[in-house]
Amino acid sequence: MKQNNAEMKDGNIVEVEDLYVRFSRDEGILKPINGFSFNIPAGSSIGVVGESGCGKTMTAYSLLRILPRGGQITHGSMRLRRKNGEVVDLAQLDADGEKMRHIRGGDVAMIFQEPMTAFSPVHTLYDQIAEVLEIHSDLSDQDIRKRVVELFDLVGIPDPESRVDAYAFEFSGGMRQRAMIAMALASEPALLIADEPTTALDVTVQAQVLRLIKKMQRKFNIALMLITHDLGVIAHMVDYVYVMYMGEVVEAAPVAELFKNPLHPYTRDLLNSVPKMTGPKQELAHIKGSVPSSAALPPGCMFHPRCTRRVGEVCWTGEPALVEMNKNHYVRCFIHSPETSGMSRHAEETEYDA
Amino acid sequence: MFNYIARRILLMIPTLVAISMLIFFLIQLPPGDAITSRLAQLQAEGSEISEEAIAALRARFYLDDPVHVQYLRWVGGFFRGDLGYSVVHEQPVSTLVGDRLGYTMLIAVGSVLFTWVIAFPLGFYSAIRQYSTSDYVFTIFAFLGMATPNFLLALVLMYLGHTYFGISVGGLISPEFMGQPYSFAKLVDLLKHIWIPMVVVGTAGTAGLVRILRANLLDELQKPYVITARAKGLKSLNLIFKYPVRIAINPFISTVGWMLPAIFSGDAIVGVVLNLPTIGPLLLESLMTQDMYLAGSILLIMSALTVFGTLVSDLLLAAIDPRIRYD
Repeated sequence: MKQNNAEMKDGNIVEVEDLYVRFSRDEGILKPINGFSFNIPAGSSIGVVGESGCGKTMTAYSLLRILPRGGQITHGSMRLRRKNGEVVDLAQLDADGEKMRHIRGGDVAMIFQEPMTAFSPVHTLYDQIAEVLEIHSDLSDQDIRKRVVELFDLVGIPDPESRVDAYAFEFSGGMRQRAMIAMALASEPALLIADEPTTALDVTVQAQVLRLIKKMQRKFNIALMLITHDLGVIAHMVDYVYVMYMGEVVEAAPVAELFKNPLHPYTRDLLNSVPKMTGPKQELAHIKGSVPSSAALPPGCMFHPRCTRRVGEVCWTGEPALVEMNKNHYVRCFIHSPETSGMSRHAEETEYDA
Repeated sequence: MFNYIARRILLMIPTLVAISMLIFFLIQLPPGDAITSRLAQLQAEGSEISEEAIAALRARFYLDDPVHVQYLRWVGGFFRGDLGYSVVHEQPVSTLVGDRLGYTMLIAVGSVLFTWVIAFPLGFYSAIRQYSTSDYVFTIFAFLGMATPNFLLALVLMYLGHTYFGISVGGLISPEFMGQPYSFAKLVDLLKHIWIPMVVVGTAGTAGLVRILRANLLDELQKPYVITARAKGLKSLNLIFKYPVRIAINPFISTVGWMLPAIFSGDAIVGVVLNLPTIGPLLLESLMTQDMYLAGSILLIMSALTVFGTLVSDLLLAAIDPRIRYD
């Protein structure tokens, strides 16, 4: 397998370009990711927003090359600048190979949604966190112990010396997620992926955990990719937002710009469905229908079957292009630009062994 | 944890008392007793026994005492190491059982090891290569193994052993070695015979355990903690052994529970078919001849071993699974 040391823009730590992921299943071929592209500048944070089933988690699994059985990257590149400065295309690496294993957990770490089930119930937290250091560092056993205790202290778990030997089920939800954050930070990764890190937590601790993630990101200057369906979470956490629908970007903008001036009907619908704490009481808006199965992608604009602001026939015959409307503000919608993407998204795929 | 163990051990006492009463009650239920069935047997052979001799026998075994006195005498004997006296064999139960204990344990331990050694790799491979050709092949064999009655398998293996390997049918030792002192040749002869009962007794358990391990492991492989472990950069085989296998292995530990009584008694039907000198056939025979002390003592020892084996397996499970320990 060829190792292309592709060029990267200086400030970026991740550049994903035109990513396609396919799953062969009995019921047909699932198409969760369809030409997704995004960049993460070093030390910055991006948000990936969309409903369940939009391909957000599959994007994270693609970066780590841990797609479930049957999943394949069929097109695109995922360039990563490693901690040692080396630039690699993750899409070209052998998923089970030595190099990818060092990147997984070493250069790229992930925080999962459900900290209860994401930890093994029969191993102590210490056992599971020390493992990261056993794989990715040369520390001695004593130093590993010291480091794990330090990490527990860092993420605000009281009495870290004795708590490291606890099991996940002895912790509260918030403490478990803190332990998960400690595990993700253990190897001092260059990129931290947080997949719905607060969805499973009590509302009262959600803010604490988000604040902790933000604090750690700043402290260690880690690039952060925050995956969420909740636009309310995004506002204070990230610099730049990608709105994802059926595996492609429908709108991308700096976070303040997106909230001030949302252009895509899907983004507007998402914003309207966030409950407001002020103003007159009104029924909570929702987006009609649900995300279709990725086994059969809708023709034309993929959002057109659920869109309330269709402009005409072009919505289901043409595939809109992602167009820059304002500075750094991109949108893929015929309301704003009649431009279609040059090639059909279905024709773009070229098969190769992932 | 200490309280848990103490509570479990204390609970064993009333359990065993209840079981011993039930056993004694059950073996008293059929009409007649050991003497009447022995007499019927002797008369059928044409021997005459005087009224006095019968009365002496009845007195010797206290058969005319009230039932509760008989029960207490029998149970009391256990504390003195006296398991009672077999009417039919006219030998102490402890001698009869002791003679057969060695081979019984040999076969049982052998078949449990056979079960584990075969079931683990097959179940493991079936799970990590789900729906592969090998998975289907193992599945077919597992269902065949579970569905085939042990005695039938015993007959088939005896036939094969005799026809293709020239092994004398049944028993554990060829006639020429009977009554001989132990020697290397005799050991080889024993090994030639013993694989048949080991395979027969172990097959159904193996088949069941393959299916259980496969199902458990498939469940565990889907769990989020497996994805977490992969995201850490663990090698996949190390990962599977450290995390999902560790949890899917519980049924292997649970087998310890029923292993102990099985080690003691062996499989009665297989023992009869293969003419094995094990305790299983002895139990069957004692039940048919109403040899109450022999039957009762074997059953009570088996029950005690079941209760004790369950305790051992529960403690082992608690040792490997903190969720049970911290309950």
